[in-house]
Amino acid sequence: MLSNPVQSKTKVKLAPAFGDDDFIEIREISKAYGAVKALKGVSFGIKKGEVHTLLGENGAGKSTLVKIIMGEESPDSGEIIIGGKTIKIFSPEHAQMMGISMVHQELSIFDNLTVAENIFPTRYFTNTIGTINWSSLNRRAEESIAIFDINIKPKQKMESLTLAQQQMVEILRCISNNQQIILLDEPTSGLNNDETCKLMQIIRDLRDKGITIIYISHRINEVLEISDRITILRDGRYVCTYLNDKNLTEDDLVSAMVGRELSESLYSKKSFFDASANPVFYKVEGLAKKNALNPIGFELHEGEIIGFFGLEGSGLITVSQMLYGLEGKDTGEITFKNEKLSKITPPELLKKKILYLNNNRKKAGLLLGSGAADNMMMPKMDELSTLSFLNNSSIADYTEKYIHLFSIVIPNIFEKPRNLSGGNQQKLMFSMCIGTNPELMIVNEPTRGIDVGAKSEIHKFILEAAKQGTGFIIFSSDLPELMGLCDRIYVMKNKSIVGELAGDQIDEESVFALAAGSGRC
Amino acid sequence: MNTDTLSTSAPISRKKSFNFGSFTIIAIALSLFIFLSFASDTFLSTRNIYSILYGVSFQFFAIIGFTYLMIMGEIDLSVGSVYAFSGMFMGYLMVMMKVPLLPAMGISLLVCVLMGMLTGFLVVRFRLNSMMVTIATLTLIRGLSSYFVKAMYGATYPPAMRHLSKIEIGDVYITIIAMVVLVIVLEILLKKSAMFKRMYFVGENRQTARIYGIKSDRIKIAMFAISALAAAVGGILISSRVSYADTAIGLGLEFQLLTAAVLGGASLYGGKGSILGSCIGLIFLATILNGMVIFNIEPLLQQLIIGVILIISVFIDTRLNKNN
Amino acid sequence: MDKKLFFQNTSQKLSAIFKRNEAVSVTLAVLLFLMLIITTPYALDPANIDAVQTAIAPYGIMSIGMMVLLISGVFDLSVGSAMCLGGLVAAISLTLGADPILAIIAGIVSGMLIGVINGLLVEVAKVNALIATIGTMYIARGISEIVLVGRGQAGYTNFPENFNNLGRGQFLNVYYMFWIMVVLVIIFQLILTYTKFGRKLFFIGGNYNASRQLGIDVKRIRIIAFMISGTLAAFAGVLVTARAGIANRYTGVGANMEIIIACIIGGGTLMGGQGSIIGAIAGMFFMALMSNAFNLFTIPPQWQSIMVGIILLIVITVDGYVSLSKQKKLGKL
Repeated sequence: MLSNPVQSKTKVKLAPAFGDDDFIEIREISKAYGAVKALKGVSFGIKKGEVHTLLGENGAGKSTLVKIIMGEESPDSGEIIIGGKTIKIFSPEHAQMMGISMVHQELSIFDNLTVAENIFPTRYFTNTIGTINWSSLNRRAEESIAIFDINIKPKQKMESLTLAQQQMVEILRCISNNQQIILLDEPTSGLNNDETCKLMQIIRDLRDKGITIIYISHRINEVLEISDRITILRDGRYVCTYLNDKNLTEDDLVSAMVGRELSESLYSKKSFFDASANPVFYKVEGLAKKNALNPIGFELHEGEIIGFFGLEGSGLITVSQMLYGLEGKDTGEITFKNEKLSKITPPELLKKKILYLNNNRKKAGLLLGSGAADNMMMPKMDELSTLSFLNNSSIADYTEKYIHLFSIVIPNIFEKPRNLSGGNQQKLMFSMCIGTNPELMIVNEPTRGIDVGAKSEIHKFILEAAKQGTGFIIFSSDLPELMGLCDRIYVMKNKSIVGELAGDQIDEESVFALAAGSGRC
Repeated sequence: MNTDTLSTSAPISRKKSFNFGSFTIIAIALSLFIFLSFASDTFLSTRNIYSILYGVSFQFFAIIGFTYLMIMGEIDLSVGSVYAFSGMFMGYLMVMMKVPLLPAMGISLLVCVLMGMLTGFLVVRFRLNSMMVTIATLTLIRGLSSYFVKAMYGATYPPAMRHLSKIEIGDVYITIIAMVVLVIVLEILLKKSAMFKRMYFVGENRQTARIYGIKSDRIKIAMFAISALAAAVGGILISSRVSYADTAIGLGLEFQLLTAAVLGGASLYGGKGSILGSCIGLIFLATILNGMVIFNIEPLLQQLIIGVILIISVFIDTRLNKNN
Repeated sequence: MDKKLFFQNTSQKLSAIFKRNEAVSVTLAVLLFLMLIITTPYALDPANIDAVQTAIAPYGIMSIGMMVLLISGVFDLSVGSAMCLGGLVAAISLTLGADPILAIIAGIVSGMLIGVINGLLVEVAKVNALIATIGTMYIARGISEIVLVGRGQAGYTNFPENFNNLGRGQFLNVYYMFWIMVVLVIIFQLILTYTKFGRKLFFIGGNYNASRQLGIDVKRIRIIAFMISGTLAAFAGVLVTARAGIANRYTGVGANMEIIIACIIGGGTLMGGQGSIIGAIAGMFFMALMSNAFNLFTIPPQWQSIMVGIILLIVITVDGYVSLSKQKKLGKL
């Protein structure tokens, strides 16, 4: 058991993990993915008809726990008890049938159909003869929409809605279908202030009707606004549960989320390298895109490593992809080594020795079904071939060199990455980039979903490469990691840069305070 | 103790594991060959094998580009009609417009390449489904072919053109030699050429290829053009052999090629396939037909058997490849 | 004030209609039809109307099944072979002395079986629809050919009068088969719009995984859709055989492509999630009328393929362009 981080500055009410009137009991749930332990014996209870928030950083285990509740994963050990009965949830369909539903971050909408059909995909409002009563469907949809008071019509096609509107429809779907337990995963990440306030009201109404709501969010402001109780997870473990009364403050929550005993500190903070006197290596001005990013600008000086921190919906991933040309921008000028970059596309940037490390190696970034040597050669094909013929021995040497350099555990240079552990996959992806001797690397989540050992190795490689002259812009939602690597950190929130911290200014609580929270209702 | 971080200074193995895809079809084809050799006297004669290879060599050209596109995750259903069109167009130019052999060939090939580039452009630029687009182009080109068939009133092609498919080096038809040479060259290229390697990368995961600077759009358009070119070459040769404009040329060819390619290890989901495998697939299908002729099995049973083989082989392919 | 509102309402309704999926094919069909009657007197000649009806009806019926499949996200290349087999099975039954009604049912059941096989292959064995239906196409065609060629020149013929009447008879100067098509079109359009089964097709075609997660019985629905396609194809074959009076081995050759093209023109796509029976029929009307126009104007038939190819290309490209720009506008790209 981690020692309780709360040294009561104020009279904050800690709630017991379990109570007599618990509706849902999470008991000793553990889950590991290979060597990575995502959940370690998590136990706590959720009452009926309350808004119970799960709070924690990325990697704390929230998404894993939620996947288990929704039936997308099964726990390695432990059980879930609902209404006094131990339940095994086999699949999302099964969860639906039991009255549990979730609004994911990646929407599962039907964009070929209308709003009304998306709100009620399994309710058909049939007449006595069994045919669908469209006016009934549309009317009920209209009623649901009216509660929310959004500017959409039931007969509109989903494909003509913006992402934010689509998200709201999906929320409406859960709400309108008599589900007893609703999980909301970062539901406000695409919403503006007004829409967020409306959502808060809806959630309160639902709660008053006796529906249990499990809310997952990083936005401390919202969490304080809406929650009845808040459970904190950290590093896969249960920390504590707070009762959200008037005395609970942001500071309490933030320190519970990030607070670590000094002896448990994973990373030592980097000693600040003040590069402000050095020439500007890379500069971005006025980068923006309608509905996706407000204008931002920043600089990277020679010799320094800068980082970007932000929570869900802050625009972090958008920026990284725009810098590399994987997503289009409306405006923005990028200058590299005093030369304006006219074409922002991967081939052009590669020519300039700028490389990109993707945040989701399974989706893009590694070819899981092709050998390691094949992966390694991808960004370097021209150099590794003579007259367009691949130089197989050079490729083999090159691959072997980096396998040794980064201590990648792999039996054969033709082994497929899908057979490697997450840490080794990430190291492989990293070597693909470093092997090209990049001048600059745009790194998106350098150590997502890998074990502690591999994490620290990759951090060492980054620091080493930086010493050799490679510039780094690191985008990450893992704050301690950024603190261990970066000299300066830009903080993003709501699609803008809201702060820039350097050296001694950087500490977890200041950064988090800038990044978290949204406008008050 | 986390063994993941054990540093390995021992030399890493460089042994490549067996490429399962082509191996299966080679094994199956070989077994069939052996079986037929024992079961029949006429099968193993040089004459018979020779005629099988000769027949396959024409379709082989068409399957080259077809295979490349499958590797990239696209499908070109118009190959059959390009196959028909190229020869007929060339014949038309020579017969009705009195264009000499080489220019006629050049023009016909050029037109086919342009059609391929158009298809590629539409697929890439508008992110269209290649199956749908090539159904449209197939209809269009088939119509053009019919036009030329009618326009020629069944005239026979000039001797120069008819001779093309009969050219021999030593005692072997040039088409067979070309096929063998191409299989060897292209197979080597597929393993060793940077450009071809990129195709596999794009086919397996387009986003990843894109991140590392591979210009997938450009390569795709190029491959559609090459597919058309290769089918056109095969078409000119088959027209030369048939010696007049026959509407039956190329009918259903796309499905035959699909069967052969899939038997040879290509996957509808992209990222897999080889020229060698496709070629052996064609030979395998032709051998079955040949075997049935030898044993006087109802030739109509052929379609049936091919249908069953296709389903079984794809079933196995799906089992192996549906990781996505 | 009232007038303005009236105009606004009508123009809203009109633009809503024009944005509908079927607008293109219906417009094309209607225009072509008008053009035909205006430009040539032969268009309305009874013999011509007969020809058009009997050309549209069988393929029209089959395009209903194809559209049902397309909406759910798959397609069926075996329809032509199922058509041939259906007619053949009916013919054989008659020759064996069965009652015409039984013969028709037998023919239909053969199509249903093909549909079940397709459905199981695609949904249970997870074989790609393209391959699975090519496979069943070859198999069904193979069976038909073996049986028919084995029979020699005589084929299966000499059907009882009331069977032939199915294909040759008329009601109010319109062929039975045409009426049947119209009725089926209405029934299936209603099914698509007003039944759970119909709506589920759209869900499945729109987002297969989400449908599954919501508990929609995707496998069952798709298998039923394949059965519908096979059944309708076989029924069309029965009609054609009844009209011809003989079971022909070339029945349905090339049908699959024509029908898919008609459906695409009619608003369906190979990606699933959209389409309508009205659209499919309009597309089929368009194709048939074009063929008829070519005949009446003695334009060589190859131009027809060329025209269809071009139109199809335009339809597909424009559809792709429109959806691409919609996505860009919403900032999704």
